Amino acid sequence: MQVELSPVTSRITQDMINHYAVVSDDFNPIHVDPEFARGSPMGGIIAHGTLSVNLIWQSLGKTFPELSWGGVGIEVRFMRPVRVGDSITVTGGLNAELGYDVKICNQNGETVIAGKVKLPPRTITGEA
Amino acid sequence: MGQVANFLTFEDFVVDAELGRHDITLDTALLDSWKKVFPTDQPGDAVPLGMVAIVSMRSYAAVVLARPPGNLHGTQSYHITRLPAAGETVTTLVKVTGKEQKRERRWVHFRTETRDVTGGLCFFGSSVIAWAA
Repeated sequence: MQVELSPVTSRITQDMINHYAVVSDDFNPIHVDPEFARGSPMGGIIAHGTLSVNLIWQSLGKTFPELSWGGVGIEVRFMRPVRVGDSITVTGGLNAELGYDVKICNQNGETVIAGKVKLPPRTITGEA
Repeated sequence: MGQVANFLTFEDFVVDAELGRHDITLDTALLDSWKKVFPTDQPGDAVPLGMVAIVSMRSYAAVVLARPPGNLHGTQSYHITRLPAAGETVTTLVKVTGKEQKRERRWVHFRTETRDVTGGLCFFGSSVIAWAA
């Protein structure tokens, strides 16, 4: 039984955000237009939320490399913006529902994304 | 997003309406594009997990064309039944499942369902977006 998920850290760059805009086809100017973003309530460029969520997938892949992923679910809330230059880290711990509470924090220790991961029960208990 | 003169507004969305379907082939070009963001995500038999979000987002973007600038992502969930293989073509249905106004923000709830060519469910997702118009 894995009590904690393997942590994963990434430093977010404008280059990553620009490439993510291409692959997701999401060119919302809040992500790619500095002038627009500066004048928005966010006050500057923010990363796509799902770009950061990929760290949760990476953490799950690192923790459970043999998982086939059927029956896996994640639910997250975007709490704070992730900005260019932020270094974000995902961590997760086993919860009472036999899933994982996950959070992504920035370099200041602020939670930017929080949520839960649901895995097939046999994944956690090791049952065949 | 291209230039669209008239953006969809919060009032335009009808709860339970199907907005459309979009086909995506998980081809080499798309996977290579993914690797530019996350070079260490190496696909095995199946595509990288992050492609779940990419398929959902690209389908949403293809179907909901007139999005105003400045929309914000509030919550997101994904549930996987089967992760597609590289090269597969999948079809995603995009629906509106709700809308609500809380304080000064207008939230629109979307659901995406992605199926393979046999109609088998691959994954579904729900998102709540703060709509800027």
